[in-house]
Amino acid sequence: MTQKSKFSACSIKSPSIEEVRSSDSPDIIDKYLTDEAGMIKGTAQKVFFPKNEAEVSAVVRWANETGTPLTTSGGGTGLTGSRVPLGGAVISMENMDNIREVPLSDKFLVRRKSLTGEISLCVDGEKRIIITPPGILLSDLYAVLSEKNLFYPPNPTELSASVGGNIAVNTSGGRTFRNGAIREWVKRLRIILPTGELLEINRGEVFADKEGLFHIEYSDGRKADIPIPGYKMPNVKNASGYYSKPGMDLIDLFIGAEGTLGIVTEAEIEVIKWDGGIFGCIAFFPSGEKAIKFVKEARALSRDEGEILDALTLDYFDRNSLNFMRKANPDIPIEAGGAVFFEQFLPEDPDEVLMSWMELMEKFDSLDDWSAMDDKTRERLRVFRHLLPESVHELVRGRGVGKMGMDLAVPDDKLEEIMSIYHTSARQHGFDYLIFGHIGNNNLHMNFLPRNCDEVPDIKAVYMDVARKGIGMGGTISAEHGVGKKTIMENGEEFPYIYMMYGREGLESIARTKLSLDPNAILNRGNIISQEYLMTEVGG
Amino acid sequence: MNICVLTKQVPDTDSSIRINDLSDDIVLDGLKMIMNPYDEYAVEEAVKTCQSIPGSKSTVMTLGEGSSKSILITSLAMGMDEAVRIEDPGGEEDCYKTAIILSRVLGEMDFDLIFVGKSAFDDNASSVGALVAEFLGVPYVSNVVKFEITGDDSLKIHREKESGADVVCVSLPCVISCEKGLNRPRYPKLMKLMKANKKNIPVRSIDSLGFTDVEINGFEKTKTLGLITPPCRPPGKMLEGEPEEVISELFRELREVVKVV
Repeated sequence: MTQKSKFSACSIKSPSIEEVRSSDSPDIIDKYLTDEAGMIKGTAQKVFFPKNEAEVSAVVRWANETGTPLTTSGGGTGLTGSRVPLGGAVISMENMDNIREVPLSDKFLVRRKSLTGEISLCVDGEKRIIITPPGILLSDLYAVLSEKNLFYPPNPTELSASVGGNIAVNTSGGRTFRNGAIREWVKRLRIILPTGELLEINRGEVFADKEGLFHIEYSDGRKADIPIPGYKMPNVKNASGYYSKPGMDLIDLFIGAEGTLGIVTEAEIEVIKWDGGIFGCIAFFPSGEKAIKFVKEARALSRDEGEILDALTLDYFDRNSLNFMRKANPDIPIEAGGAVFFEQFLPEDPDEVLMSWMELMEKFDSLDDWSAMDDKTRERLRVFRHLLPESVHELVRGRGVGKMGMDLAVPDDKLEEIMSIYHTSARQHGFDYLIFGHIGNNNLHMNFLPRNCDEVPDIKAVYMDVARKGIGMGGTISAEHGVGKKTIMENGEEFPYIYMMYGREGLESIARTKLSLDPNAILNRGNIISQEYLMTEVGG
Repeated sequence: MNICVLTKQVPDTDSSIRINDLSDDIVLDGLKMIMNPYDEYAVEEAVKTCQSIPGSKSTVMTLGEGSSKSILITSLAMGMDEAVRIEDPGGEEDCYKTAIILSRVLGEMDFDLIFVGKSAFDDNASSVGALVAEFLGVPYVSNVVKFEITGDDSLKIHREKESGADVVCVSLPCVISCEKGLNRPRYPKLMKLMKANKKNIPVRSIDSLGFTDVEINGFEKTKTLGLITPPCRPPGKMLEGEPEEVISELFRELREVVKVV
């Protein structure tokens, strides 16, 4: 059977732009001009607060007709300037936190009082499906799911992030080691396209044809071809640029596109049901090497279906991270040279699983551990884990230098090599640094901690050198943060960050995909590729 | 030294509490239960004290239904030596009754020191510790933030007050209620968690405590007449415009609408 590569967008009845709540007060706009990393500060003349899909459509239609750049804002927790506007208007999705209608039935409707007012979504525990508006924050989502023993598969630890933002960057989290990123769990999306029209996509319905094209028909009969980008993605955990694979599903083009192709107004997401307990543990080891050996063996055992050990999470902290955290957590053993945070779903009789972990920890001379089988203690472990990047952001912001953290991922067999590069490159130059992150996916965050602004240019040079080496190993420059508005300097010229992976040809390829859906390039300008590439494509 | 901790299972503070309109009870379906957070300070202090005095023994006790075993396991994993659960199929709400039952079991034991959390997150009554001390005829010191053993049978204790702190001396045996800041509750270790999970936790029934029916019926001093959900906070009002306009509008609202200035 020939797979379908054609799809249609439909127009929806939307109010006039004046009816959508907005503000042009500089004080209010100011809240939307930066993100968690504080890397760049943008500008905007207006911010819109739509509360339903029709209002989102009205704003996008207005932006497209007036040629006003429009930047979508989620929870503001991004690290790459993705929600930072470069002029024009902001569309904040914070009030999009009530389900459009009850698509399943009333019995699945969940209402909850949130700090921001009442929110609502649909939760079908039996089918393990949620239908959610984009403005729901993970803190609320987790609370709703937890009451039904359901879990959001990647389990990001940033609870102020929104579901819409998660889809825009194809979010990962602590449990991505076992459950992957959010992409594969997203089953259906409703999206307002740059024309203001609505697209509803179910996974498994529309696929790129042999020429690598999707074919769209708009409500006025206009047709367009949408080429998928021509590059080959690295075979690692990856959040750099548009998804691209021969015969790919249309829904995957929008997931991880950093809001450049449309605005998600509703998502149907598969979740995980687990009625049993969850074991969480931070194990401390005498050296980073022993911690990494522990991880490699835990990873191999977890991937072996015949083994009882089955890690959900495998996260790492190096000695510098532990020293950095010790002030707030004096119980961290002073002699610890590395630590690993891991979790596993527990069977009814957990003894054998716990014994397996115990033996593995002993094999690599674990010095101490913090273990939890109850939710509250496990939550303390999560907070400890999450506090590290937050504290790093606070430190670098305090020094007025911005975040200098990397998000590389490399293939399994390159883990030790990249780790050695991280250490030697920072030590050679005497930089302060620390390394932590999702070691299960070889996605460690090398964070440089510049002591002052003078160090920044040298650090940037080392950063780029390390990133090039990671790409050379078959890795990615961003495994989970996205690339947003990050740039690099090469021979005095500024390029989008993703240039390092895919070169000029790759950037042009992304521009063609973008312009096929957003000919006026109004949505999330500057994300993934700079406007210059879009203008070149428009002009030529 | 023989040290006891009294603990209680309470709804997770992050849970959304719903009231069953028909039975005037809290809806337990989907509600996560945890150890009362203040009791974690009590467990930590008991474990620390035990470790500092060789030959000491610690016991944690709860009055609760089957699911409350999990908080005893957590306490054992944190380092408590023994645990006892007094079976309470009904889920006692009355502090007096709870205290008298716990006191009866404690009376059978040779204890020197009893730690309790300063209050339970669910009823916020702060009563059981004081009542237990009363029934056992021993001193009670509340809201303790610092604790020091000064002799064989005396303690020097800092109590937190709004205006500062009291420093008091108290003789053993006694009951101490633990306030936040007393210590940093430790994380359980895997080895201890495994042992705790396997440990046989004795269960006492209220019937086994030798109360007569008349006594039992007389214990209940309070009755919950109803539960009320706190009223929804009214939506905020966003004032927009130039600072001068917003300030005068704000004062107008405060004067004429809210009437607080």
